[in-house]
Amino acid sequence: MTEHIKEQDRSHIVETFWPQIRRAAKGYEQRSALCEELSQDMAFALWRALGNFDGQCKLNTYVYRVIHNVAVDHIRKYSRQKEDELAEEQVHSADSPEVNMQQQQQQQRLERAIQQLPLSHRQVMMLKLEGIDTAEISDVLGISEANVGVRLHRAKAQLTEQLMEKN
Amino acid sequence: MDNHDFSDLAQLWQSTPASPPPTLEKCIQRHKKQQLRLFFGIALETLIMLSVSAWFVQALQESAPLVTQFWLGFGCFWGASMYVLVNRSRITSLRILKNQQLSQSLEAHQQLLRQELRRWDLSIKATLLFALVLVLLILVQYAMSSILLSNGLLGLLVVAVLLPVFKVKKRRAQQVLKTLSE
Repeated sequence: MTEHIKEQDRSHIVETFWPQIRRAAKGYEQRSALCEELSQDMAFALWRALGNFDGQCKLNTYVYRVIHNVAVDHIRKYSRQKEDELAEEQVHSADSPEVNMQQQQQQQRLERAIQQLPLSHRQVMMLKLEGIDTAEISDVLGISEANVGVRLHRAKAQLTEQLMEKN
Repeated sequence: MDNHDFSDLAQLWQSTPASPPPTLEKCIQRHKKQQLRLFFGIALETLIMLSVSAWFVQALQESAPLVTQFWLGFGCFWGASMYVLVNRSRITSLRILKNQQLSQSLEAHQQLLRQELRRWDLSIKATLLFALVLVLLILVQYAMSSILLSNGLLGLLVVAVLLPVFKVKKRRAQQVLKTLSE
């Protein structure tokens, strides 16, 4: 997997990781229109970056690096609106009507709780929720495994607190 | 939160309803439009910079009123400084690799925000200095001829509008830096 990944394969990889991209975007952006935009930006950045994938790390690691990097870029460019504007938009965001209402509410509660976490905790938490192991999280973030453990521990405590508050 | 709870949470997180896959052609089109917008933005800024510089040189050559020369001189100096600094930031921003480890890119983004804060600081201080010199000019002129310079007063009005704008921009950049540093 050293040379270039073919264009068709790149599109296929983007489609494969699309659910992860959507979830990551939701963890970073509350405003539905901007969340959609962020997802598209992540997908496009991934599609472009796959052209430079040289196999020095796992494809999974590479993908998560790219999508979370796009999110950080997004925060710098778009997180200047007031919090109350964000909260209002959140109420109006609509998802698929077929999904079980209760589960949908729980998912929204979880998304909101994750969005409340400080960035360093949020990143670790989102990667862990995706089922990524500690070693790989440490490779995505560029921090030690011990540091990942500490952040995850704090993130879990904060998330529990947030979820209990929202109940 | 024990492992079982966390595993339930992970399951809930991963069970987000499916949404239609991305349309890469649209993304490519959007990217092209963004690049075009950036190019036109830079071209427009360059044009404005050159026009104000030419105006300033013309004002110097034609011995225009001191207030006008001062006004244009300030505009030129401030504009040129911002032009260089903003474009340097843009280039740095474009150079940040999307595939690097997050801790490295976060540091790069924080650096860009610190640069932005320095730009707003510079703008606020330069504008205050400009206002001070403008007030002195107006007072000297008034003491000498008992005439209030309308150009000078207009300048002060512009400064009064600019200062809060710069301060709000600086505060917002500080908030974003705080978010990225958490």
